[in-house]
Amino acid sequence: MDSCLIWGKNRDGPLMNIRNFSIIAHIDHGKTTLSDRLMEATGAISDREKHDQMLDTMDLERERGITIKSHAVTLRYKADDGQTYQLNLIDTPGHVDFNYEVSRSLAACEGALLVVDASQGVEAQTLANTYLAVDNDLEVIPVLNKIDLPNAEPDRIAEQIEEIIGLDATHAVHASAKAGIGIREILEAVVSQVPPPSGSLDAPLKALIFDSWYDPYRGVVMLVRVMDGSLATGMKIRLMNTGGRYEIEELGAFAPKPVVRTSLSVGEVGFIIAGVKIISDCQIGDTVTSDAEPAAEPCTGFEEVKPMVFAGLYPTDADQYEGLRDAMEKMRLNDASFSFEPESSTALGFGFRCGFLGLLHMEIIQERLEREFDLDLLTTAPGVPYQVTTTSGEELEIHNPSLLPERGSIATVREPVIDSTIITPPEYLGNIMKLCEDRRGVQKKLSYLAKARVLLEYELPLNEVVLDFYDKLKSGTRGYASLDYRLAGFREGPLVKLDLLVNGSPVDALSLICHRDKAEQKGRNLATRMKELIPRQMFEVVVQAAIGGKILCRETIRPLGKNVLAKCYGGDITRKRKLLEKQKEGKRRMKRVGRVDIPQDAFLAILKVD
Amino acid sequence: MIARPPEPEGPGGVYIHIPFCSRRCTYCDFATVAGRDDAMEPYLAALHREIAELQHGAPQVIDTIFFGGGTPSRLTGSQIYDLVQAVRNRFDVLPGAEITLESNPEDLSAEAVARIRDAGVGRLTIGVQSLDPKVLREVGRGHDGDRALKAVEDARAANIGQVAVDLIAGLPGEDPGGWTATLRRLAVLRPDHFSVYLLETDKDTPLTRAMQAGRTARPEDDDLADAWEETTDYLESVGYRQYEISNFARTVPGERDRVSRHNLKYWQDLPYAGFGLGAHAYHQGERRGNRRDLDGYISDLAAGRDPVAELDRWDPVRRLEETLFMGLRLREGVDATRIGARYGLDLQESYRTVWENAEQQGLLVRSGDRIRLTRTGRLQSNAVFGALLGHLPLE
Repeated sequence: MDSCLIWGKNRDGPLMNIRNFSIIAHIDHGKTTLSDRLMEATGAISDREKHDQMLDTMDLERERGITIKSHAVTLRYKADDGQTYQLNLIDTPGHVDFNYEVSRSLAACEGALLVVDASQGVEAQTLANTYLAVDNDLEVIPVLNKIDLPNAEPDRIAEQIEEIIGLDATHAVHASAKAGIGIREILEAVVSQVPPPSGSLDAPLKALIFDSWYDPYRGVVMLVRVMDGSLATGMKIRLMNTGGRYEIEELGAFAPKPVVRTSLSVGEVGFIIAGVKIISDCQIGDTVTSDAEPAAEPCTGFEEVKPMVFAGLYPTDADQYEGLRDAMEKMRLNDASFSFEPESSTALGFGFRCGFLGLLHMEIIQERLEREFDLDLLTTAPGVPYQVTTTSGEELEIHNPSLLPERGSIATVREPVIDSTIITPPEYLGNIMKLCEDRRGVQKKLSYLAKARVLLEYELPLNEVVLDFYDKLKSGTRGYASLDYRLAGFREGPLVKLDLLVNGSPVDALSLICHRDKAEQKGRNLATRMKELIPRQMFEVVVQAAIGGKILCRETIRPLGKNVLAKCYGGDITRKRKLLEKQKEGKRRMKRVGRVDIPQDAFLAILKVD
Repeated sequence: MIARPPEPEGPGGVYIHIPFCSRRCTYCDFATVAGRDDAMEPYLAALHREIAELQHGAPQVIDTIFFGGGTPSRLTGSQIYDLVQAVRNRFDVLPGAEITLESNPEDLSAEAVARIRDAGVGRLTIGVQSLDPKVLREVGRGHDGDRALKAVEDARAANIGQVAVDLIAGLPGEDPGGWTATLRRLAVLRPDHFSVYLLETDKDTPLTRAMQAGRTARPEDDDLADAWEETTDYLESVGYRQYEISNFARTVPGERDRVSRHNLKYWQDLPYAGFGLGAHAYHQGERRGNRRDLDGYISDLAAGRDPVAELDRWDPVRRLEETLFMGLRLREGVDATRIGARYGLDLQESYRTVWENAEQQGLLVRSGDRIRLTRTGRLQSNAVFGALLGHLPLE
């Protein structure tokens, strides 16, 4: 047992010396650097071990500079009052796709550091997470970071925090995580302002799972916060929502390296390994209780996370299908919010329809599959789930546009809509409002948070957002606007399926569902784009866009003029051979629809057209 | 399939590379040097050593010698003569052997051609490329159209045997009218042979880089196809036979067509030695290529080292594939029975689906033993060649 984790009982009991907190920050506002500094300052990592961005362990996280999975580190801090405290720093994911995980991480805390860049100010994501923290009754401590930068305006930003969030920022800590300024002040603020955990050691065990992952050697590792009672090695436990029963094999805390302990008590944060083999048996937000003496009620707020973005993932090389399946199964062990089921496409062959929390989640999964399993993947344009009621009263959920039933047999189609929050400097209001209106948005609110900060709320169909909304928002506001959103539900709408036909055959992987009023323009743009992307073939190729049986437009790709090696002598043979092989490889990588070879980028054309 | 390389079906050839040029043309990616005339002597010494001592697998009996470049017309008569003698010393050169030399118009005069002739050359190819002054200036040629025409006339007058002209379609600045004029003005001079290349823009050359940077327009594929069609129609109408995708030989009643016998070796799976900078060779089932840096080449030979830089070892499938895609470039196509016997497989059967698909697309015809491309097939030949590659698993 590591000595730093033995807590002497003092006059107020063990809970008094525990502080559980997380850090809320916009991307790039310095959360990870601050976490590193807190670890250094408390001796959790020495200089020798220092490795920038300690908490972001995955390569991808480090490259993208965002946290994808939650982490928790237990720090030992000797405060100015002479007492030693156990500080549990719970790192939260930094993207709207992982909102649910953020909410569970916050539910494990009593306090949060609200880190705001002293030159940039409050952003939508920060605002949303701060509201989440306030809703969870967390004590929020404002920290103005990067105050050493020449353009820092701590007073103005403090004012902004007060105006926008309604927090008293007069005592905000001025810090620079990078320069090591204000680190001790932050730790003191955590000790003095964040309340100690409540709960009872004698009550039946109740521990909230706020993250879990799959370790290839140990099985599933759960990160928990003990709300009541205690956990001990060998204890029989039950997961209250899924009903699974296990025995604790090992438990402990991260400091930041794993330290094995014999028990975790009320208020503490740590990990459990209990022989859980599949991550989906151990969902984030579930409650661990004692099998012998279960708690009456689980922790509140548990939700089954549902994927809201779907796309087809196909191996570019059909031989990699089995490899892709294995890789996805391994990926799912580690990520319960990723789903997949086999599908086949006439254009793309055999692949999988995959569900993701959002676009970033999709990109991450795709990148990890390619990088960690050495696969070459083709991803179809992402779409959203649609709820369809047929004329015979059947209820369907459609994840692949090509599977939308015939128009005649559809009674209603409902699409997911979101409530979005956008914060922007006022000069870009026009651009944003135009963008939102183009995307069928309904304005719910427009208010000035401060002189230079406007908050907009729009209800938007999710399918108008998944493709390129964020990019358009950023480019229309020079990167100044920030966006956050929550799923608001499903709404009925006049939605139709747009098909793309190549030499008369519909290309299933290019079907999409869109609003009736937008279908014609989209169809035209898509056909024009395909004309640019499909190389000339030996014969004429006709590209058409259609709704139902109605053809909207037609583009013709002329037959190839020539495909010949101009000259070929003794010295050229090896080079020409390579050229022919390259050409052939290029052709092999194309997908064949009927007789027409279609390059892989063409399947992403939907992403690029309005 | 056969385990060892098949015996050659006839005499081989010798290629000799002369890399020196007065300037570098913007479209050229051959192993050439400009402004290095200082290296001529050591280079020739190296070349002589390579001819005398290296490429032991080269065919002993040959009936063609080809001086390519670069600009071999920059050699003096005695330098050419010495190299021909060096080849005769090493190889058994059959009587009536074809000895070709590539030249640039600005190096040619009546006297110059006579010297080349007297050195033993019986076939002179002239790099005309175009007669359009705008085009010639643009690509950095050292002559104008009149000079090129004069060179052809001088060569004819000097009675050098055969005179051939090389042209490139699709060079920057060219328009369809200019191309037609080039063909017509040359054809009236009755050269024995035309090589007409379509500009390739996939090589790393100053011209390609200019196209990538948008400084020069890239020729449209359709325009190149039109130029090829026009060339084929026109030259065939005035007594030239397209015997290979980009080569046309004058037909003379009662005589053999004036084809390039040396180049036929490449298309007919015959062996050849290749000496000099960047030169390629094919013998004993292996393809090899020399290094392309002048000083390295010279120092290798000074030390008695083989300057080889690329080696593609014997593999029956690779050699068969090359035999097919080279052979199908010829108008006469390939003899399936003979090639099948050489490589030890039933060619008709092994590639059945390739032939059938190409036939269905109108690219190819089979009649008896012969398999050949149609006219459309010649213009779309890569579709057929690509299908041949990798059709059989490599051994």
